[in-house]
Amino acid sequence: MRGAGTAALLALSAAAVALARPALAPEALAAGRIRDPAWLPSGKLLRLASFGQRLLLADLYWLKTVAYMGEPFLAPGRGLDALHPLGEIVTDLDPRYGYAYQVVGSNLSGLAHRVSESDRILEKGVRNVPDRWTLPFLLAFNKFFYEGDFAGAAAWARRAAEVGKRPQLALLAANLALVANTEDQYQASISFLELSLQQAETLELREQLEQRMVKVRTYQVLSRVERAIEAFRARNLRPPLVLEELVWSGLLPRIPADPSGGTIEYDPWAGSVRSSALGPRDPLRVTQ
Amino acid sequence: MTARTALETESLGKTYRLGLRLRSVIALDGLSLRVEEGSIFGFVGPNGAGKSTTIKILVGLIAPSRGSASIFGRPIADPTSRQVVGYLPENPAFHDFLRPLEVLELRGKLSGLGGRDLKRRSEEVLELVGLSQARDLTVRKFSKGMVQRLGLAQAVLHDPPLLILDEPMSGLDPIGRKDVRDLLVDLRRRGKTLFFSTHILNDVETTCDRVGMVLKGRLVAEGSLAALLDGSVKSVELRCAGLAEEQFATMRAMALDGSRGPEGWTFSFADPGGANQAAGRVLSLGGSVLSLLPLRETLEQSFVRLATSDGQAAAPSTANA
Amino acid sequence: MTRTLAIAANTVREALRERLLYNLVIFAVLLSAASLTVSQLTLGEQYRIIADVSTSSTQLFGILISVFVGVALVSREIDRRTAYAMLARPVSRADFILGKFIGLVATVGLNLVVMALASALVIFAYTRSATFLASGFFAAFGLMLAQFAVCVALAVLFASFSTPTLAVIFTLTLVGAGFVFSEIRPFWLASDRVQMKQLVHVLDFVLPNMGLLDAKEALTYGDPVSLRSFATRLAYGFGYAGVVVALAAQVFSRRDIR
Repeated sequence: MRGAGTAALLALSAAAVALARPALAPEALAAGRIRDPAWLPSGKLLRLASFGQRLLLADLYWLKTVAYMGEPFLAPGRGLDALHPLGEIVTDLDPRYGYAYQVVGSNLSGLAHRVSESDRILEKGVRNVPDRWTLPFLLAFNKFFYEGDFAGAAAWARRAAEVGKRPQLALLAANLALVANTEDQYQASISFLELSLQQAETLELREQLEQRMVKVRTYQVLSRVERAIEAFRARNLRPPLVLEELVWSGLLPRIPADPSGGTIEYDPWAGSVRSSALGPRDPLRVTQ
Repeated sequence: MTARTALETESLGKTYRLGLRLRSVIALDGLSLRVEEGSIFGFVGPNGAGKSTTIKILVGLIAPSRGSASIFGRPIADPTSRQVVGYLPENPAFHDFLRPLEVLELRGKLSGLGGRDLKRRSEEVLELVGLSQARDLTVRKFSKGMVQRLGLAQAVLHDPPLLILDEPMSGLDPIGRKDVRDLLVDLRRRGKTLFFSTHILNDVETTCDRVGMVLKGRLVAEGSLAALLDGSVKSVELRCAGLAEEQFATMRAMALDGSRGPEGWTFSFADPGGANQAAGRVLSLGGSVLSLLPLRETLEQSFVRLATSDGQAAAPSTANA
Repeated sequence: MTRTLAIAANTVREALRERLLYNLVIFAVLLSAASLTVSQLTLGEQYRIIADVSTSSTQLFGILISVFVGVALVSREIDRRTAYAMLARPVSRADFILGKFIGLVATVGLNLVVMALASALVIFAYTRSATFLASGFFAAFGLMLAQFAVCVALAVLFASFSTPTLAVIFTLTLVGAGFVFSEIRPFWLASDRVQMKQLVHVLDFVLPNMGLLDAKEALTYGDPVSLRSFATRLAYGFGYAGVVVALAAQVFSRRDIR
């Protein structure tokens, strides 16, 4: 009779499992979903408890992060609250995980519009993986596109160019400096372009860098003149009639030469200056 | 040339501290004995008397709390004293996964043997204990008796002059026990010294020169077999048959003790005179005398006598040979 | 020395014939192979998952084997009394312990070679090139032997005076503490309180710095490891193990084998 008892137990158990599994299916899908980011463990604590396997734990949390980023497409409406905490966990466990900084950083700003969190993790990445150029590059993008901090963007772009040994990025950095339109940025940009010229290996790149340098110098000059015009207007409540007025009132030492080879032209009715060769100061215009 | 002292102990004592409260347990108390070279010394006592403890102290498994001992003059604290000792533990155990020759070779290497010598000697010794047929089996497949034989083999492997054996007959069938007994006698004949412990008194009676009796950690008696046994005739036993039932009571009245057995009646008498008289009476009544046997004190009786006179109530076991 | 080596050889034989290792090793190898599939779950950087699973599983299983087999083989000798007739020979207790240690290290070393080989095959299957061998592979796996030696030494020490279960618990606790300590050490050293610095100095002697003996990162990131660094760390690991073994020999010498 014992054999029959065992067989009955087996059959009953198998039936129970077969029936229960489909009923539990939705719960099984939900298992492992991160509901509340406040419940995520601290990366530093995980490190201590990892029994020497922090790299593997970083990988496991990375897989979790990847799954987390993919979920909103399956179940839209859910925010990405936990993305930054997850990114912090992964990079606390393995500070050298450059790819994690990059993906999390770019998704935090691009997908989740959480730019400050994006900046934080990208900056952490720049500290810990200093030779990964994509990180300062993404920071430059954040500053330019989301934060309007053009000076900052230019600085990060220069860093990216330097770190990545990509002189082409110097061109981008120069453009960003033009948008920033401060004397510091113009100076920094010119120095950097000079440095990049030294490292440029192709004739084409060299020419591009030189052209950009000219543009930067020209805009720098235009910018100085514009500032002088503003100062004159503030003092005298009218724009100057001719550029010489600026020299006479001591706001400019002399009429500056146009680095692009043309001349500085002044329109007294509009109160604006332009280079006869390159046109007005319009940094966002997409030209050479 | 006077015989050397193979083994000597001087007030050997061992106290254990057991349990959380570290209560003292005295396993051995002031044991002093001496074994001469070329003799067989039997170490008897009930289980828990301290036999194994003594032996383990001698071979270095346990450190003594008090006293000292030496083997062929070398103190037991010196590991080299064990070079000349062959030890058979009680219920020996070997690594299951080894074959008998591998076991012997490992032990041999630990005793300093090696190379071809070791191989040759291992084969010899395996043959000696009758395990040659089992050479290809792993120890896991051995019977208890086979394990015991292997234990003996590893004890004699390095041809030690002193053999210390803890319950060497344990686990053996009657044929096995006879074989071991014969082996021990043969070893003695070849000049080895044997020191073995047992709780079966019968084994001791038939083989030992000297006997030491230990009880509750103390040596209660030690000496040659003859000296220990009171040699005088204690009683005479008469066995007879063929008498009518009514005669039993009469016979019984003349004797110290009487009983009926399947082959006849047995009576014991205090002296040969009384027994002879009774024997004559049996014959005159038409019965037959099966045997007339003077009984001397057995080791068992001696043991009981010593034990009870000592105030202890321990009883030895008396397994049949 | 021959006596010690005889015991060592017997220990290796026991580990192999008793099939103590096979299950664990097979599992570790399967895990490495599985990493090839798991790595498909990530976007980019699949190599590191394969490298991490291989090194981590080798290390974790190696530590478990070192501890469990180490404790078992020493405890068994005493519990099953196979040690009795051996210890009654003119072999010192220290030789016995040393022999067990050497045999166990040889066994886990053999293990390590098998698992490293399996890992190499898996990595090769993915990368289709052998450059990983030159960048951190030997450092990562080679240094594990020192970690295992430390685990074996601790296992032998605790097994020589304690029950098997407790010995495993004590050993794993110390090894875990060694890992935690290597992580927390820089924080304590940077602390303002003098007591923390003193505590670190004390623990430096007592605990094994398992992080120092860990070079898995070298394989993941392809870091070059200088021979000098490798040799120094190996020396530290085996040195620590040596001290523990000497301690175990002392403890075992004073023990009564009842």
